[in-house]
Amino acid sequence: MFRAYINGLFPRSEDLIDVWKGLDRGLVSRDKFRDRLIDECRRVIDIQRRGRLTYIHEPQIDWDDIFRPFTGLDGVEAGPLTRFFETNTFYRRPIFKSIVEYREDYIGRFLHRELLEDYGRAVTLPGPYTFIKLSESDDEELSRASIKNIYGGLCSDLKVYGYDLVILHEPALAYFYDVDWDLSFELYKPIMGSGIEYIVHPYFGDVSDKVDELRALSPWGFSIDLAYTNIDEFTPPSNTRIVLGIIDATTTLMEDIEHLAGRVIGFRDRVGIKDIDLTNNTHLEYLPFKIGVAKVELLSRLMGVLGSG
Amino acid sequence: MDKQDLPILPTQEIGSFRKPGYLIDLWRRYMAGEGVEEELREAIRNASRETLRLMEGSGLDIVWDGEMHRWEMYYHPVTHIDGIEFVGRVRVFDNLYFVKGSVRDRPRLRENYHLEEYLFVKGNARKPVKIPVTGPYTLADWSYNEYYLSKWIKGEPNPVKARWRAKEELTIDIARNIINPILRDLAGHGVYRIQLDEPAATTHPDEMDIFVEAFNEAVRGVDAIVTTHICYSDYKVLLPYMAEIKARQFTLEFANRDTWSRGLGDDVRRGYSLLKEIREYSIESEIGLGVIDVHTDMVEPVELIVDRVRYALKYIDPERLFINPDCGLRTRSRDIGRRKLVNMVRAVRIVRDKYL
Repeated sequence: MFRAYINGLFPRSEDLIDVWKGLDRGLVSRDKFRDRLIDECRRVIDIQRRGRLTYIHEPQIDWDDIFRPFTGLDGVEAGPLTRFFETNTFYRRPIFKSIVEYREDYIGRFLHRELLEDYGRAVTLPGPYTFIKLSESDDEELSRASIKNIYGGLCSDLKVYGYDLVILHEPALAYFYDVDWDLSFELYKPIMGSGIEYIVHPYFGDVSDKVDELRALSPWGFSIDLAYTNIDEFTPPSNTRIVLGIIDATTTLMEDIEHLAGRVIGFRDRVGIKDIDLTNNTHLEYLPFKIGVAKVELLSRLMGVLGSG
Repeated sequence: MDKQDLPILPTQEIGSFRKPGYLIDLWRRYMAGEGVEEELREAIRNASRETLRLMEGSGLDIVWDGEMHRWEMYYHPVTHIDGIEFVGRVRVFDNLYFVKGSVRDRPRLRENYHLEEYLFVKGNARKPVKIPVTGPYTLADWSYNEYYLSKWIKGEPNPVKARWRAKEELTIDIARNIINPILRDLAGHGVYRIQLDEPAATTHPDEMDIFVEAFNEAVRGVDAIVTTHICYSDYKVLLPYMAEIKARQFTLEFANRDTWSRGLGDDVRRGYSLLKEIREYSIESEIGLGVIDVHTDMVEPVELIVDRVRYALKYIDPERLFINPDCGLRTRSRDIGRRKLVNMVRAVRIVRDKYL
């Protein structure tokens, strides 16, 4: 069975960028900005709904980077600008200063769940392993405890809010050759025990030789980044859900639908996996808005060609 | 003009400097298609002269006009290259974006987009000049690569190899067909010192071979001193390649990594620890030493800069040491930028007088 959805932060439109800059310069009122932001969220949701994607993903256009919402919690601060892997995009490195206690309902203010009613809802969060690897602390125990607290609270909130799928961005599991799997399992414990459906989503690397560990991290499935993985040589066990990061969010080159569909069918038939999800490999925000929209439409057309499986 | 005509420990800026408000307004109106080309040209000339006077007044030994003729280091070249189309804004961080281009055909140079500005600056400068030029690897890395990727992705099953080949072909084409002709033309018009800006150099460690090959292709046969500026980068990645890169000088960012405490010890001068490794690698190039942090309004005290230069002199011969800010000062106000440059020059004069 095929499912399709997007993941990660969506790009801001040219118009929204102008309004946002206007807000920064004091030329646009906060109310006008807020209205424009909500309009844009509706627009991003509508693009997915019209594309008949399996889940409607949170736009997350108001997240300054994937970690930023969490730097508002007591005990963690937004640190220096730091390059995000090999991209030309920078994030504020989270710095843990003291043990973070997650406050109930905290993440709600960064989500627009009221706009997602009546749909299957999905949201992307930083994966806990990538979170700890890309953050800073003088005391690793403090970071570990904080991250476990954060994810315990997050999962409870997301269940209450009614999210159906959580995509955990884990580029650190793919990009770095050496992964501390013991640490990964420890950090995933609060998520595993929450009962929430989540996908581990590594990208910026080939995880062909990390399949067993990734399966152990999530009973719901994990992703591969097709910009880094030769799908013809990738053979996972058949009794797992595989998420194909098949829409490349790092290039404006539009994929050929027939070619993609052929690769997906060929992969399914070769490895005998029934449950395959189709999505983008990384944040669509690495593309300008118009091209991000075109990539969502491409995913939708791919789903149309493949049918439900 | 030659280095022999410069004092020991020559002072220089990097390139960009905050544009005056009137120029920023006109640039924005011009890019919005408001038909203000003539007003913009006049404003550029005024701002260029004003900035040259500011740089010279600060006491710098080598100057440029703060890149008043360019909106920005990527946008400017791409507007003069066929085959790369702007596709929209992409976030760098927070609410800051750059207009990104996509390579949709083999890049072709329309005209030398630096000649007019060079002739203007040269004609108006009262000190030796250095022209900054965005390098081939950075132009390639900051663009989407549709044209070459579409060729390679069909024939190469390994997507990593396909992207590497596509990037190599694009970067070398830009080096040979865009940057090299510009540098040769500039040298033919008497340019003595060219700085190839390559902030993207170490972004992809697996592509360092591409960076080195492209750099050396870009400077092939260029009869001028060519230096390179690489900032906010992983210098550990750069180090093993420095000897292969045909640059007379590596102008690097250090102050951003350093402390604001006085002293000459390794602990307080930890931002400059790379210098030891440069010596261990027997790198013989000149070093442009970043002593000013361009991302803070705090103006470095003269005494702190003196310490930074003296620390550097433990590892780099004075004949090979130039002194500069970490990067262009465009993110600071013109007044803060000027004050930072003035203190830098004062500090260098103290080092020259007391410690050499």
